[in-house]
Order: sequence, then structure tokens, then C-alpha cells
Amino acid sequence: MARPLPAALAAVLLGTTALAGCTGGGTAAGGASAPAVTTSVPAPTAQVGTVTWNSALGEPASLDPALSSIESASTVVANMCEGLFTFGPGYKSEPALATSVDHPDPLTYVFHLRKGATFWDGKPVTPEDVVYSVRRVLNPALGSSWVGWAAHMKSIEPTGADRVTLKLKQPDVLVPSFFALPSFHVVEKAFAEKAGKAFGTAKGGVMCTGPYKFGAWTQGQNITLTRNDAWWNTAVKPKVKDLKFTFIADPAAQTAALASGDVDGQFNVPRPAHKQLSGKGHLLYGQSLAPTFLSVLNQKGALGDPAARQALQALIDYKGITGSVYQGTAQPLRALVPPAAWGYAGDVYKTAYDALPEPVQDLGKARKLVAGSPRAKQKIVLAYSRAIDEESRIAASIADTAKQAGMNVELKPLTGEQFGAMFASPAARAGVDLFLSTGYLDFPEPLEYYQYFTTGSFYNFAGYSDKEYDAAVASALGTAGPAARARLIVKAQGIMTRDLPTIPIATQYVNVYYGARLTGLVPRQDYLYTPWATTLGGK
Amino acid sequence: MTLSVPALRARSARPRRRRPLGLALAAAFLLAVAVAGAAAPLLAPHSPDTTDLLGSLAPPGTAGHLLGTDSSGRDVLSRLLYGARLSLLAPLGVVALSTLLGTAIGLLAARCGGWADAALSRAMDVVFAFPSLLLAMLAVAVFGPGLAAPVCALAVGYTPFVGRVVRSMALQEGARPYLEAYRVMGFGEPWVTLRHLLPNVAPVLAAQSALSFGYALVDLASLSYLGLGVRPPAADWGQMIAEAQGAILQGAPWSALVPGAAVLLTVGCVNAVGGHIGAAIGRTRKEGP
Repeated sequence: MARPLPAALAAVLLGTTALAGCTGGGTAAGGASAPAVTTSVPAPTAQVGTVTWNSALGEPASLDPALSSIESASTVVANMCEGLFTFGPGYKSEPALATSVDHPDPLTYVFHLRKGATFWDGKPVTPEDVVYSVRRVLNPALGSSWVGWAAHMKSIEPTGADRVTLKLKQPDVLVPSFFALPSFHVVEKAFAEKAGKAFGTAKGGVMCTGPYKFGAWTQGQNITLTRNDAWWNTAVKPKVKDLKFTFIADPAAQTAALASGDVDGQFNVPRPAHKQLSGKGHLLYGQSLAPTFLSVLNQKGALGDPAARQALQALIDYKGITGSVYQGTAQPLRALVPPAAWGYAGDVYKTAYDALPEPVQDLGKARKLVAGSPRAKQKIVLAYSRAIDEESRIAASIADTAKQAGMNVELKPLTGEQFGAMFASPAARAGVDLFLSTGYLDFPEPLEYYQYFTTGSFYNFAGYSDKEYDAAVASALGTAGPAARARLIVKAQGIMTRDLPTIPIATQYVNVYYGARLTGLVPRQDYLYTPWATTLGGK
Repeated sequence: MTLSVPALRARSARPRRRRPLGLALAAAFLLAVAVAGAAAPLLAPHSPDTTDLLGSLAPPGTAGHLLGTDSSGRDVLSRLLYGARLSLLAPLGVVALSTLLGTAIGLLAARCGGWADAALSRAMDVVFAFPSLLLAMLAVAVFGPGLAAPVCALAVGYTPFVGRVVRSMALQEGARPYLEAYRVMGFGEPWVTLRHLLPNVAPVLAAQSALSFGYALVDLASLSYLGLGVRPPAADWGQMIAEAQGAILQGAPWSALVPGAAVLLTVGCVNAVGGHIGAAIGRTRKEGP
């Protein structure tokens, strides 16, 4: 055969692993102590020419803000495009392209647009641009996932030279939070209409107002943004002139690039690399709004029996997951929404959360539940993303402990495409009973997640239905008072925790790494929607 | 002139070839791997799927874990032993299927000749043009992950290698007078081919199969490494290497090195044994019966 000797191929395979092993940081341990959460870092003092930043999840498909619902796009778009408001520290709403909003009645919002704000090409931001941008997101042909906020929208119209009025059909307390999200990001109408389908692509580019301008996009290699020195927000002086995004998706390659300094920084650094990188630059952790959880997708199989769902909850190795898999950078969850997402009425949420049972592994309990439930012994197909090492390990652990408890969990690792399709296509979910994933709330409002599990909701994949739950969520959506709303939400939370259409596992810290020459960036979940690069600079 | 008895023996006897030590070691290693795989339930200290997250990445020599644990806290030795089963059986399946198909096609082409030979040879050329690994990946894409599809696809991919050798050997053997003698005696063509021609082709087939086994083992390990082979949590050497990538970054390379070494040594030993068989056949044919 005219092929290289198989032994030579095997030797290359072995040699590669051996060489890679030499780069490690010594003997690894199973558990790890919890790292400190960073809430402030020294402000930058020096200008930096170019910062190379890696997108851990690869190259985005589009930079159109309306399509920036995945992290690879959001991380870039957040520095270019702005909404009417933005999130300050602690998710406090701050003016952006609107200076204020009037709320004369529960159904009306009147935005006062910032005078003098311009797009990168110098053209002023007009009410027509704002209305066009919001309506564009709502156009089903575009397929934006930022349409969800508009379930109760009646109309949005320009109502003056610098005024836009939004009307709702019924009160919805979630709506104002979306003013700072891509649902309300403003793009230049004339530019977008001219670009047509090319808008947001490497060829068409985008036209926004933010602190960084779209520079160049060499597909497969990098995206370059350049500082917008005409940004309206003169109170903030970005120190980084050019931002170059790379798309290294392989964890080993990411680690090598970060350690060598070829790449200056990255969010979501792979956990196995933390030990190696922590001594080189700044590896920082922040509270996140991200729960890792199991979703029941099929109520007709084994998981239709509440005993099977309770058994699953009891057999999860919470200590192993938080201590070993997440290396101390996560906490076990009692409810789906993590404590970091209690944006108001914290005492109400805390009291209810503390009353929920502590998540602990109890194989004896799981065995008893399984023994009393013939359905629990049926095969359960558990799908997860094989690209996420942590979730692969969690899935393997669940399959093993389920076997020990008398359950039959079959693992189904998914490719990136298959994983994405799980959220969009019923066909992709066919044959899957249980789905392991990590999501995140866009802002600290538990209702944002709990509304997804009402009867008929798009994301309620298993068809979970409970009238009491639906009523509590519906009431909460119309309740403006924080404490009253929180009480309704914890009621829904209690029902969900009882019925377990989802089984919460852990909430992990958000993390960021950047080289020793840089400073200023505090890791916060809102990096997906705020111009985080403006805080970065040299020492 | 008289010759001493020892001198006569030296002249009349063929030179004796000592079996090299390396070959013996290779054969012994392969035997040991096969036995270890077969007896995995008896030899493995733990279940290959038992996880212990807080005991993950224990170094080799840890009490109860001779070769350490992987990133899920599973015993590397136990997974290595159980992994030998799939890692050896699957390539064996590829070799068996490709040998069966290739022999049938090669014999048909050689004995029928004419348009059948031309058609079968061109068909083999077409399959030959596809890299076997690509064929296996396509099969996984169509039929989904698992071992059945890639084993069948690799078997199809390896068939032309066997078919060409068999055809060539069968053409050479077909020209020898002993086959004509059997026909004159009234034996039918299928009987002559299977009973007398095939046994003479078999040694070359054995050498080819041994080489194919090595290629198949590496190809299947590569597929498992890419996540296209067996489904987790089944133990498989290629998958063990893939699952150990994170561990390498954490400075715990043993969970990758151990299965990597197993693949390397097994393939090396198979090559050594296969090469010896091929060389022995070459010598036999050169020296004549």
C-alpha cells in the first residue's frame, strides 16, 4: 500500500500527546478550592495599539446585531453597536442612544433620543433609524431570536424630531430590560437597506454608532475593529486602538496561543488551562447568570414519571461536578435561576431559595425511587455537546451513577451543529429524553427564564404544563412592584422545583484571561451586550 | 575424497533461519493484548465506566489505580483492558470483511478474465481512489456514529488492496500446469479454484491481512478520536486519547499516553509479524518447493 506505515502514524499520535504533556503544569488534582471573584481591577493608564482577542466558540456567522444571539457574535457586536440604553455595573440601566424614557402609563414608553449621536459614517441617528432597527428585528424573514420581547408589543413609531414611542398591548415588566439588548440596537436604515442580505457579513459589514468601527473581516482568519474617535460618549476614552478577533476553537490551541502571547485575551478560557495560565497573566472570575441544567425533553418515556426525575436529581454528583469538573469555579444549584440573577428583592428570593433542599448526591434515595417505578428503568437518551469537555464529563458521571441506581442512561454526544439544532428543530430533539446544556440569562430577572416553561412557550420543549405555574408567571409579568413580583416568581420557582421539568446542576463563574500588559477589564456576564473593550488598556 | 558426515549435513540441509527475538516479543505482546482483552472482566480492577469525579487525574501508582485515573476519575488500566476488546475486534472485522470480499473479487476477476476482469478491476480502481478514512467518515455521516458503519466502510475501502493481490497471485498460479492437470482429470473450475488455487494464495493473503489490521486499527482509533466511533462511555483506545486532551493541559498526560502507547505498540507488533510472514513467503517462493 502506498501509505505511511500505520506504526508511524500511531507514533505521531503518541508523540503529539507526549509533547503536549510536557507543557502541563505538573501533577493535577481532582478537586480545587473556589477562586476569588473579581469585582474591580486597576484602571488602564496607557494606550495600546492592537489587542488580539480570541473568540472561544469560533467565527461568528454574522455581525448583524439582530442575529447576534450567540456568544461568538455578541462578543464582537457588543463593541460596535448600541441600544437605546446600556447596562452599567450591576446591570443598572444607563442612557445610551436615548437620554431618557418616559413611562406615562403601563402601556407606553416614550424615548428621547440623544442629540448629536452619529453613525460611524457621520450621519445622525434619527427616530426613523430607531424604528427601522426595532421593526427589522421583528421581521420573521430575518429570523432574529431577539423577537421574544415583543409578545405584547402593539406599535413603535417616530413621534417627534428626537422622539420614539413604543406601545404595548398589556403590561410587561421584562420589556424595559430589552432596551439595552440587541432587540433595540440601532443600525443605519439607509446602509442596511442598501446592503440587503449582505448586512452583517464580511462583504457587507455593519453601520452602527458604538466605540469601535467595523474594520475588516478576513473570513476564516480574523475580524478587525478600529476605535471610533467620534463616539458620542466622550466620558469614556477607550485605550485600545484596534481590536483583532481570532477564531481559535480548539482548547489546546487556545491555551498555547494565550500562554505564548500570540493572543492577548479570551473569555471562557477552557478550565484545564486555568492552572497553566494563572501564573502568566490575569485570569479573573466573575459571578454569572449561567445555569447548567438538565432539560426533560420527553415526558412520554421514563422521565414522564416524577420518581424518575427525582431519582435523576438525587444521583447527580454535585460535589464532584463543582469541585473537579469546574475546579471550584461553580456552585451547586437549588433552582434553575442562579442567585446572581436576583436583580431585586434579594431577601424574598434568598428566603425561598434557602428553603429549597440542598442539592446532594444520594444514591440510596435514587435506588429506592427507581425500585418503586417500573418506568424509571426504561432507556433514557441523554444528549450533550461533545465540544464542551466539562459537560462530557458531567454526562459520563450521570450515566454511571444512573446505572448504579438501576437506571439506563444512554449518552448521545452532539456536534456543534446538532447542538444548535436542538434549540430550533423538533426533528433534532426526536429520540432525546434529556438534554444537558448551559444557558444564561440576559439580565438579572428570574422571570426571563421562568417564562420559558409556561404552557405553549417556544422553549418549553417537553410540553410542561401547570396552570398554577402559568398563572404565577402571567401575574408576575404584569406586576411592577419588585417584592410582589419576586413573591410570584418564587411561587413559580417552587412549582418548577417540585415538578422538575428541568433539573438544575450548577452555576459557574464567568472567566476572562488577558495578558500581563493589559488591565481594566472586570469579568461580568454583561460582556455580551456592553462595550467591554472600552475598559481595557495598558498598564 | 571423502566428506565428513557433518559436512554432508551442512551441504544437504537448507540454511536454518533463527526466528528473531523481536518477532517473538511482538507475537507474545499481541497474544498478551488479545488475552488481556478477552479476560478484561477478570483482570480489570474496576468497572471501566465507574466515575469518581473527585478522584480524577490520579497519577499512575495511586493506590487502586496502577495506571492512574482519567478526567472523570475512571481507572485507566480498566479502560485500557476493556478498550482492547473494541480496539482489536473492530479492525479484525474490517480485515475479515475486506479479505472475504477482496478474495472473492480477485478470484472472480482472475478466473473469469475478459470483460468480468476488466469490470471488476475498474471497480476496484474507483474504490481505490477514495481514502478509506474519508469513506468511513461518510458512512458515519449517513448512518450515524457507532462501529458498524465505519467497519463496513473501511472494509469496502480495503477490499481493492486484497482484491488486487489475490487477482495477481491467481493469474500467476493459473498459468501453472498443476491446475490444468486437475481440469483434465475432470474437476470443475470452482472446485479447482477453491481447493487448489486458493490455498496457494492464502499465505500472501495472510501477510496482506496482517498489514491491513494495523492500518484498520489506526483508522478506527482516529475515528474514535474524532468522536465518530463508539459512543461514550464505552472504552476504546482512540476515544480514551480524545477524552484525555483536557488532562494533558492540566499536566496529567498519562490518560492519553497509556492508550497512545497501546495503539503504537500493537500496530508496531502487528507490522513486525506481518512483515515476517511476508518475508517468509517471499523466501519460500524464491527457493521453490
